[in-house]
Amino acid sequence: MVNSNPFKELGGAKSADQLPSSSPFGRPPGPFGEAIPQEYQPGELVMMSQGLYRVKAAEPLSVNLHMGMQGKLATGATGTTLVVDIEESDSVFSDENVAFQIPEGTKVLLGGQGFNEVPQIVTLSSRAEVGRSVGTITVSNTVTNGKLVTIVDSAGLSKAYTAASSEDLTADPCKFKSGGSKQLVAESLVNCIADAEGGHNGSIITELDLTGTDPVIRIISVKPGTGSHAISNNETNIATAGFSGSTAVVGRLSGTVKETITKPVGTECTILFVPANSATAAGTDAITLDSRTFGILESPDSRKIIYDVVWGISTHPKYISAAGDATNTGVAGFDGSDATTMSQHSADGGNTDVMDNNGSAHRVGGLGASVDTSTDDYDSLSIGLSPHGGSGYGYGFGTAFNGLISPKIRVSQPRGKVRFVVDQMSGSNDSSKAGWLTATETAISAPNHAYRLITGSGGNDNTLPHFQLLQDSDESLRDPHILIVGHKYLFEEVSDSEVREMIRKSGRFNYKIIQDPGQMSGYSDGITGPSQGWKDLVANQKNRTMSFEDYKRATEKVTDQTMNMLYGTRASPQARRSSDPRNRHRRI
Amino acid sequence: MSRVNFGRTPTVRGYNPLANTLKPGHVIQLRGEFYLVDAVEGLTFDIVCTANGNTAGTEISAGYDSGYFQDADLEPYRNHLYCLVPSLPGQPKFISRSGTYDGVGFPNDETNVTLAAALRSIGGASRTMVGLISPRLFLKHPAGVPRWHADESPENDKTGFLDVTVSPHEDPNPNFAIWIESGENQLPQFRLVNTTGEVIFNPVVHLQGFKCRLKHMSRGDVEAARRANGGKFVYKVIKPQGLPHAGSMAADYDPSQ
Repeated sequence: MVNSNPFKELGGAKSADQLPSSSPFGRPPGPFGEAIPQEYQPGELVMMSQGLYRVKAAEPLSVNLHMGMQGKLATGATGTTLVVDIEESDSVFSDENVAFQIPEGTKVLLGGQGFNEVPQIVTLSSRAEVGRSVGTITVSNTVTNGKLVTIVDSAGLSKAYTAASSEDLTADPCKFKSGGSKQLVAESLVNCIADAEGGHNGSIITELDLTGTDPVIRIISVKPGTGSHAISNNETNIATAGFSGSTAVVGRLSGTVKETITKPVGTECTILFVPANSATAAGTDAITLDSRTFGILESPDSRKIIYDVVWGISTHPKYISAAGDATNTGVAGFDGSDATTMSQHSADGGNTDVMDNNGSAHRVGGLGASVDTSTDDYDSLSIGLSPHGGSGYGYGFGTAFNGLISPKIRVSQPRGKVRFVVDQMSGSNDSSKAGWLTATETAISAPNHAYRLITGSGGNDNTLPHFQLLQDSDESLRDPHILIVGHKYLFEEVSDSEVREMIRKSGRFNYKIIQDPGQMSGYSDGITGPSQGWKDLVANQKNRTMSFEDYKRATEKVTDQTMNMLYGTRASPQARRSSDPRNRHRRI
Repeated sequence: MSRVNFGRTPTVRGYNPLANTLKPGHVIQLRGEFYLVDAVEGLTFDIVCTANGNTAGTEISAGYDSGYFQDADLEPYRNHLYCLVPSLPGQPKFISRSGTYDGVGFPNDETNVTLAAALRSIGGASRTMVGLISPRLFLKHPAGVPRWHADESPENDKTGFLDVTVSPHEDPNPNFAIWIESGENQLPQFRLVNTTGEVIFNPVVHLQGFKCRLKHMSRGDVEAARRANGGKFVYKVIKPQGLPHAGSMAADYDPSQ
């Protein structure tokens, strides 16, 4: 596709482990949508704000950009222990009352997303907490009556739970069951910690993991940040670990990853996850991540190259739970690492308390034994395990509704000038009206041509788009990202003499127009202030008297292309675009 | 405030003329004057209807009627023109496991059903999703002039509405595009009515389209453009106001005959 004068390839090839994995949920079924047309063909003339150019070459282009939470490595090269300080301006991330969990399998990108970066991609091997103390209680066998498990929460509330022959939730502190099986002991201890009167009454979250040989209770402080957390016990069959207040810092992710971390302290990170809005703080209008840009969206080539692209926003499955709940239902029917979320769809029945196995004569008794109930008079029935999203992607016609939600993304281009927004809201952060796009408008599976982006077309190096993410949905987002597809074009200036020659030969010439993205939206309405904004006007008008014509021009500013169209074109000024200062550091 | 929305379907947009209707360099005729399209840019705007009336919560109940309202933020700057296509987000509609579909919402399939008779099982019974529903959207534009309706019943609710069937949010119907010029009386007036019998959790009117900046062409500009183009002058005609109001066409209608 590219002619004999190819584009410079400056980025080195990276190994697979240095590339973020593909979209975690794949793409929804269906075609890609409207094809991205190659608007400009080699040989054609185009008008840009700087003048007339000829298309020399064109080539398709695709870019994937990850939009998760940004941070920095707080400890570097520390084996598999990942500690990241989230560095986002939104007050949610510095609020000492806000904390959340990041699921197992979440990818964290260590390093930047530029072409000359060598990032490392790590994967959380288990769920991790942001800003909260975490500890574990492992029960390896039944325990001796009278033994104690003592837990102190962040507020200093200390409860010494005592082992007893039977569970007693009326005592303060509660007593947990010592016998039966180690699983029953752990389950009883969970009941005690959660109890409103004799327990910690919600200040400590418990997750009961029954998947291993020994049951493990994961205890998490609801209150983030440092505190007086502590845990201890005097029973040999119970092991406690962690839950120290000093390990938790507001806005800090602490977790374990599968890989060995090789990056140093201070490395830029992107956590490919955004929590549900409601998971962080009630009443928050939305979580807004800092605006970010990606240098790779503008060519470093010193020749005139533009990227003409469309872009789409990642889609994320949305479910209505089996219980009919539509808020923050997540992507799982139950939590496999927390047995307390698993419910048995049965009720106390008649004389046998059995679960029906879909009409068969043999049924499962309360202790899991097979019971022949063909002659029993029972009334305990199962509704079946109503699946949560069992019908797969899309609007499956089945049990669950599966839609595709997305983050909201806003583009500024150049920086500070919001695009795709109504005039009255260009300075606003309103979560509905201020130019926020979703996958409804432009999805990765079907980018919308109405929201095209062009970089490199301006008369300066100021066309790099900045992207900002807003999360106002009640679902967490796994790897929110943007897919960019389109074309890159190489242009050559058309000289004065060439223009004259074309006019001499044919009397006229045709050209297409490439819009300078910075020239669509004025900084003001052109009535109460100059279109270019007061700062620029004052700077340009310094030491000069302003005439009425000057005023008209200032308030009726139109793009350079339009001036060219109305009042005649001109040759491209030589070297109007300064050389890219970044090149000096690239040694090219 | 966290909002519940059900996202989009995986379907692909149908014919999408928004990127091609107007481009920089096009000439349009608007209210008898010629304008050069100076710049074009996509546009998006959401109107959350609970904020215009029912401010309690994020949902609207069955029978909700917003009445006509307008949003001043939709007024463009001088020499700007908006073209926006209204659309509505879909909400899943279920038939419950017992076959009920009237106002069932999102049934809880985890509740137990206890049958008096022995030896019966419900098996894996659960609700079934059967479609998408939305409120209905009515429009007056310019201010006070009903649109999209049959001439003989301009204020009748059986005509003149959009819903998710006509214009779904992931595939807005460009036939219902509206042009918004600068000026207060050019603001569209919307009315959202929930006739579904269900609570609607995402009562939002999506507006998608583009805005463009116009440079007025003087008679001299038009002549110059005609000369430069070999005597031809190509332009598109934009009619932002639709058909004349039905009231003005009803002069020959006599109900007594």
